[in-house]
Amino acid sequence: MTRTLFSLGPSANWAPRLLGLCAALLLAVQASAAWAARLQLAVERNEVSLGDTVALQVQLVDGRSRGVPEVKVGEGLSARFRGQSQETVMVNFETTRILNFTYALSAVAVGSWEVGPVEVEVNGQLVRAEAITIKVVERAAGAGAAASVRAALSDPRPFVGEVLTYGLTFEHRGTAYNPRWTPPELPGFAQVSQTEPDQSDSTTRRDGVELTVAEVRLPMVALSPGARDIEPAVLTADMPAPPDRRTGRRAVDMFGRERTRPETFSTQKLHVEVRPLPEPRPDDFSGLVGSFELEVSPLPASLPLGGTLTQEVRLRGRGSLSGFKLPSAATTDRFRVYDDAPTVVTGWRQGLMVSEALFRRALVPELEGTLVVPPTRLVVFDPEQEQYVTLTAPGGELLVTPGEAGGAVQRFAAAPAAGGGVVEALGDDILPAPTQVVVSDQSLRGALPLALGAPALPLLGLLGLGLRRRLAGWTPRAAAAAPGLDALPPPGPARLLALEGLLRARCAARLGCAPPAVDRAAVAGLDAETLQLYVDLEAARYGGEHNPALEARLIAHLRAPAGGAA
Amino acid sequence: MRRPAARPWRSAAGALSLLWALGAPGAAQASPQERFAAGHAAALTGDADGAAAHFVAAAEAGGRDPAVYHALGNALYRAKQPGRAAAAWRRGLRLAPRDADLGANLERVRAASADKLDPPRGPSGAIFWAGLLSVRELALAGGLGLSAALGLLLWAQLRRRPAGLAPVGLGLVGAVLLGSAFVIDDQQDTVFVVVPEVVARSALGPDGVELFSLHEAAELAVVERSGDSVLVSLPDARKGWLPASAVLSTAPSAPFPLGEAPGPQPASSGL
Repeated sequence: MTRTLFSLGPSANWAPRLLGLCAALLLAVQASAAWAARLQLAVERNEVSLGDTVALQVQLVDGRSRGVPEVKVGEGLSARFRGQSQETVMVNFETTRILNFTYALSAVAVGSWEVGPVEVEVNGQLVRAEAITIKVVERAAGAGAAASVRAALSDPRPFVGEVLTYGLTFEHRGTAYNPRWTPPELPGFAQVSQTEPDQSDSTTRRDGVELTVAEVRLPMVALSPGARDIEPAVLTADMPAPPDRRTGRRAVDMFGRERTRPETFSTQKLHVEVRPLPEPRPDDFSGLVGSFELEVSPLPASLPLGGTLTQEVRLRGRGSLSGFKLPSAATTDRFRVYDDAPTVVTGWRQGLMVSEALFRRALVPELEGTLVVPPTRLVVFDPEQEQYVTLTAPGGELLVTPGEAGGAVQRFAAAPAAGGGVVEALGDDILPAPTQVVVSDQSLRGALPLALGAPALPLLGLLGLGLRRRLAGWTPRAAAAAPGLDALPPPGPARLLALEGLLRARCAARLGCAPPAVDRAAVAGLDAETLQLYVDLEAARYGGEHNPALEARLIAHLRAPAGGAA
Repeated sequence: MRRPAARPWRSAAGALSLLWALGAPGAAQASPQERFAAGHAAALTGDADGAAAHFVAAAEAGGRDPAVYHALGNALYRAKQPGRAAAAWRRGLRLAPRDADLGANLERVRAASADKLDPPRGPSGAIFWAGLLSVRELALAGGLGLSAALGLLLWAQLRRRPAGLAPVGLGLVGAVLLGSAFVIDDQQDTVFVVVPEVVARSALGPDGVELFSLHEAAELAVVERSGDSVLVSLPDARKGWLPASAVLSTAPSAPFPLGEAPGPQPASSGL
C-alpha cells in the first residue's frame, strides 16, 4: 500500500508529520533570519566642519537586537544616541525589515576619525558593520555664520561645593523656531535642587540683520576635585525650508504656513578643573561655598519680660542654600533661642543664580534688665576671594522691662513665687522612656494575625453557607428560576397554598397573563405535565389532605428551568 | 451514644487560633515583658550596655513595641552610640508616628550629627495618610473593613436580602488600608550610619572611587542592597555604596545587632 504524506486513510498518521514539517519550517525561517541579518553604518556627510552635527544611523536589516548598539568614535567626534525607528520595505513580494538607530555625531576636533566598527548580536551570532572614516575640517571663513552655538562655564576653575553655571548661547541670522537643547552629561557635578534651568528666547537686530538668540543656563554644584571634560551639548531648532526652486518663493504647506526642517547644532567640548577647598579649614566653617551677605533685623529698644522677640536673619548671595541651617545660637541664663524652619528661595538675577534664605529666630528673655544679644557669625568660603570669610551681623542691646505677670511666667531660673514653685531647668537631656507598659508586637508582622484573621471569620461563614446550600441541592440558577422556594412554610395546607401561588406565577409568566387569569383551560395550552400538576393541585386543595408526593413533584417542577417540563 | 453535631464556629475558631499561633513571633520564647523589665532594671544600675542587650532581646522575642525601642535608644544614647540610638528611636517612630517624645529624642541626635542632612522622604503622594497612622493601625483598620464587608455579605445571605453597595465600599476601603500598610512598610527603607565615619564609593569592587564621607547618626534612604553593601542616596540625589556593617536599618522587624562601634573606616576599604 502506498502511503503519501497527506493520505487520509484510516491508518494515516499525518498529523505528527504536519507538525514536524511546520516546526522544521519555523526553524528554517528563524535560522535564515540570523543568516540574512546584516548591519550597516550610514552618515549624512563624510566631511563635516568643526562644530557641525550630522545624523549617524546604524541600520540593522532583517534582524532583531536587544538594547542600543554601542558606537565607538574617534577622539575628534562625539556620538549621542537620539532614538530608534523601524521600517518595513516590500520589493518583489519580499519583505525587508530595517531597524534604525539614530545618533547625533558632533565634530569636536579637526582630523580624520573613525566611526565604528559596530557589532550587534542577532540570534546568538555577531553581526558586524565595518568602520567608516569621517573627516573634520576647519570651518571656512564666513561659512556657517548664519548660525552659531557655543557653551561656556561661569567659572572654569571652580571650588568643590561652588555653584557654577553651564551656559549655552544659540544665534541664528533670521528666524529659527522652537530651539530645544539636550544638556550634556556632567560627571562630577550635581544639578542644584529645586532650581530649574534659566531659558530665554529673543529676537534682536545686529547690523541691520534680524537675529534669533536663545540662551540656556544650567546651575550645578561641583562635587569632587579633579580635572574633567564636559561633552558637547546638542541644540535642535526648526529652520525655514529653502525657497521653492522654480518660483523662488518661500516654501509653504497646504495651509499657507512656512515649511520648516529641523537642524541640529552642537557646542564645543569644555574643560573644567575643580579645585579642593583650601586647608586647613576653620573649625567653625559652616560648609557654605559662595559669595553671601548676612543681614539681621534690628532689635527693638525694649521688650517686656514674658514676651518673645522674633529676629529675622537673611542670608543671600550666589551659592546653594538648600538644606542649610543656621548654627545653634549660644543660650545664656538671660535668654533662650528657638530657631524656626528656614525659607529658601532660589532665582536668577543678571544671568547668575542667587539664593536667599530667611531664618526666624525667637528670643525669649528670662531676666529683667539690659539684654545683650551677641552678633551672628557665619564662616563661609568665598570662591571670588578664594579664602574663608566670616560674615557678621551685629547684635545689640535691649531693655527687658517687667512683664504684666511680674516676670514670673517666663522666668525658669527665678526664685519660687508665692503660692507655687517655678520649675527650675537644671539641664537638658533626652526624654525618658515609659516603663509601665504592656509590651506587645506593634509591627506589621504582629498585626497580621488579627488583620487577616478578622476577615477570615465571616469568610469561613460564607464558605460554610455556600457548602451547606450546595449539599442541599441549592444553586443560584434554581433559586433564580423559582424565587420563593427557599422560604416555603412548613408542610401542610399553607405550604401547598404557597406552591400553588408559585405554579400560577410560573404559568402566568409562560402564558403572558396575570396569575389570577390562569385556569385549567389556559394551562391546557402549555404541556401535559403542568396540566396534570394543576389538576392534582386542585384535587388536593379541595380534598384538604397533606400530600407529600405532590409537594415533591411541584418543587421539582418549579426548580426546573422556566418554559419547559421538569 | 450520640455525638454532638459539629459547629462551624468551632472549626473557624480553631483555625483562627492556629493562625494566631503561627503568626505570633516568638510565642515559645521567653516573655518580652520580662526582658523589658530586666532592661529597665539594668538601666537603673547604670549598666547601659546590659540594658540595651535586654531591650534587643525583648524586641526579638516579639516585643517590637515603641516603648521597647524608646528605651533601647535611650540606653544606646547613654552608651555613647548615637547612630544606633537614632536607629532605635526611628524604629519606635515607625511603630508610633505620633509619639512626640521619640521625635524629640531623634531630633536631638540629628541636630548633633556632623552631617546636616534632611531626613529621607517617606511614602507620599497617593498615600497621604502615611504619617497619621502606624502600619499596625492601618493593617487593623484594613482588616476591620474587610471583615465588616464580608460580615455584611454573610448577613445578607443568611437573611436572603440584597447586600447593596455597602460591602463593596467597605471592602474597597479595607483593601486600600491593608495594602497601604504593606506599601508603607516596604517603602520606609532607611538606615543610620553607626560608625564614626564611613566613605561612600561609586561602585562595588576595586574600581569604585571615593565619593563622599558620612558620619555617625546620618540617616539615608536605601536604594539597593547587594551582599554586604548598601547603595544609599542623599537628599541632593547623590548616591554611593556603603558597607552594610556601617549602617543599621530602621525597619522594626529587622535584626538589631549590638556591639562596640568600630573606628573610622579606612578610605581604601574594599567595596
